[in-house]
Amino acid sequence: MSTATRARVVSGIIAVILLALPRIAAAQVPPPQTAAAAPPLRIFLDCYQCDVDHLRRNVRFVDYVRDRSVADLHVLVTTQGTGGGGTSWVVKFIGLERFLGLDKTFTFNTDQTATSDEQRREFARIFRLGLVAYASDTSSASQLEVTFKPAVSPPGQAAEKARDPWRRWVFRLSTNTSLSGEATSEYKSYRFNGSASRVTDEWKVNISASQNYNQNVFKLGDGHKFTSLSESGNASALVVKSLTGKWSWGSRASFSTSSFSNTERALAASSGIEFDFFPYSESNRRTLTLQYMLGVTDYTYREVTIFDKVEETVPNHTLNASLGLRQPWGSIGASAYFIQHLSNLDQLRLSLYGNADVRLFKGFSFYTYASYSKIKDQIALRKGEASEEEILLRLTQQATNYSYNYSVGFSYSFGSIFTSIVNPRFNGPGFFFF
Amino acid sequence: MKRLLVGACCTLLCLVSRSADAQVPAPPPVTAQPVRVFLTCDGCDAALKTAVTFVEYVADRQSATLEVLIEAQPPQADARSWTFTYIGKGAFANQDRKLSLSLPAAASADEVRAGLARIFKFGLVEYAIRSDAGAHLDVSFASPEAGGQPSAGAGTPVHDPWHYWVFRLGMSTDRYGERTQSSGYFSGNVSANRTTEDWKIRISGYKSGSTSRYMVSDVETVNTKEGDWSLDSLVVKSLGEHWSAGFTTALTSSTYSNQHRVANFNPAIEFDFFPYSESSQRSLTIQYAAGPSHYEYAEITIYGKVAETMPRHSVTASLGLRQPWGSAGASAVFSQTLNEPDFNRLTLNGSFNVRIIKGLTLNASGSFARIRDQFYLEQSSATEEEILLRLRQLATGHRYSINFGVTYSFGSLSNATVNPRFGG
Repeated sequence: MSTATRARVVSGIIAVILLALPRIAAAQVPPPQTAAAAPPLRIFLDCYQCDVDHLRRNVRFVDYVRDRSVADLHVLVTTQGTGGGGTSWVVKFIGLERFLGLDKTFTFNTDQTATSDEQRREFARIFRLGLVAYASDTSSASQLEVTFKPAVSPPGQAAEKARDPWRRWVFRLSTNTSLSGEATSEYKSYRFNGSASRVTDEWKVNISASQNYNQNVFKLGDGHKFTSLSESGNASALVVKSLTGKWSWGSRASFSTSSFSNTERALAASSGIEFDFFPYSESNRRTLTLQYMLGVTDYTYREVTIFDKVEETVPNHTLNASLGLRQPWGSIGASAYFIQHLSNLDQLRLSLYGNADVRLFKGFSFYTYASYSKIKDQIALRKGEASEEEILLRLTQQATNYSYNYSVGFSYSFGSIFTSIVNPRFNGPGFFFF
Repeated sequence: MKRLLVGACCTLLCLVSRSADAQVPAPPPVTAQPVRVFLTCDGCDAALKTAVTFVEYVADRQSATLEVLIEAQPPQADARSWTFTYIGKGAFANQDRKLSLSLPAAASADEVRAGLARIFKFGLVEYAIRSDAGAHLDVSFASPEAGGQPSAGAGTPVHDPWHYWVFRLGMSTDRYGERTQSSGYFSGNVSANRTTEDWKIRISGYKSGSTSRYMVSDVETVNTKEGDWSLDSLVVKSLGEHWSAGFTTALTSSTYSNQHRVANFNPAIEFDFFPYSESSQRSLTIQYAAGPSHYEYAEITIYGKVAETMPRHSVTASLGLRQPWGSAGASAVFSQTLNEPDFNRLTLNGSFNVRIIKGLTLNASGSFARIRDQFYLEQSSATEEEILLRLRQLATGHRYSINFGVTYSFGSLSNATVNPRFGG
């Protein structure tokens, strides 16, 4: 098929679809006007973290719709980590149509120890409570009842909650082991993470350590085996002091080792300031920060580098600007990062990053991310050629003066706006796993 | 290029400043204090105060944090109505709300009392949720169709010109590159779905492709290319709370598996030991499917075939649990070629994520497959690049994977402070 014919066929198909749309819509007779009560609320749930099927089953006095433009209420959910390792949820009910201007915000927290079922139940409860006033003039209202069941808590529990024997310190340890294989290949990996943190509005202390080990064995056609190994480790401490609503000061110390980067040991220390153009308290919806840090890193290499070094100490400074927005129309993030070695001003790296996920019009979402780095700071590269296996399996860093990564995509949906029904039949195994 | 950048920056700055205007102040913090209500309601306040106990009532306006005014409207011929005005004070300043209630003129005194209390509570919730009582509040919904078919949302929509059909199309592409290596990926998909309690119909198409380039030395570059596509459909009829019947069709293609084109049609029946309506908490299903599959290979196979048609069947048992203590799942699939019973595969999967005691979580997953059905493998042997980059499926009698993790956390776990400074 020539390009011209193909174009004609495609435009023909589009024309048929476009013609069909208004006709289908026109063929419908408007529904008879029901009693004074309004129809069920139409909810556009804008939530990455929600178990939507669970809500459809447990909050059934509303209709769930696919698009903001046909909704009575836009429910925008954002989450952030808490000092205790849990999640802070902000649920914003944004009134549309007859509720225009009537916005309400609800907040709640779930502990780090909450299982996914406990989290989705608590979300459903807050969601129901938030909806109930909006639903008061709908046909479902007469079936709704606010219930109040005060728990008989053992005396002293509240007092125990108030005094905190741990003084806000939270500790976390985790390990993970993976094995997989078949006749001609095997894979092993091991991970360890540990952290101790203390977060208050005034101070933030994060201490963490992690270790990673990966091994791949391939049986090649000629009978010999190829084994790949990669390992890395990292330990760091960050201390941040809140200076004002918009200023903070922070210091970081770290140790790292990596077979990929040819570093046996990298010891780094840095200190600097950060400014948020918006108050930090709004960080779940918008943030624009500027950070400057001055530091020094001491390297010991695994193998001699392309600059014939086995160790060196490099002072550096970094500048980081970062923007994050989560708004009813979508979300946008952008950042710029600049690092320069003070011992050799030509050794520098500039990285730019941007992402957007935006609802452009009814049913149409556009998302993209892109990053670009100009790289002139690869002082740790190993001297000598990498083997073909090392290159194909990306086991060691390669010399480059740039790197880029981008993605563009869209999704468009049309048709019935109602998405309230859950039908789990023939979902097959796997749908339940994580 | 420079002009483009400047333009992009301007757009971003515009967006920021615009969204800044749209911003409302952050929500007030949770107060442990009960909501102190000053209630004005002619002749109905005693009944409401008895019925609604999650707020405190105060006798003087000054100490109230919320004022509620309930007013009866002039009666109409067939209806009586009331308005509820909520005026927030102190911590609730500027948080006002107006609600209304309308009842048939013939409503009994009891019905009026219940109706007033119901709406009164609806309005109080958004204030009381920030008090100590907030944790003990909930909303119950007496579904009108209780006992019958589960309802689909609040009401089956009256007017849906699309008859529940939803169409989606999407496309994405990405690229990565540096001096000595680069890769690209593309995928596109279209689908038409219709989901009702009685029927589920899914029709979907998918296509993806990827390429990569590795400069392995100054004179040698390795280029790779992979791709697959599929056209699938699923039609399921609900037969009561435990049974369903339907069929799947698929037309697929995969370079990884040496399958130029595979077509199959599988009528199937499924039984859930639990009611399907509980599937987000628990399900235990068993499914049997049988039907013909037609294979066309990209390269001649280890059995010397370029195309063949085989009847196949499969049994799948699957368990899924999501409960307050955690979640668990397991499945077993056995599939077999009917004319060559030795061509078969058994796959077992299991996983769980369980909280043992507060702060200690175990998660594990594992799968094991006994593989006797790789009749589609390519005859020629694989190159080193194909093996290392996993571009080709290789002969094997088994495949396993095991993952095990432990997480233990302790300390001040209920600390709800959010401190976004310096990231992390």
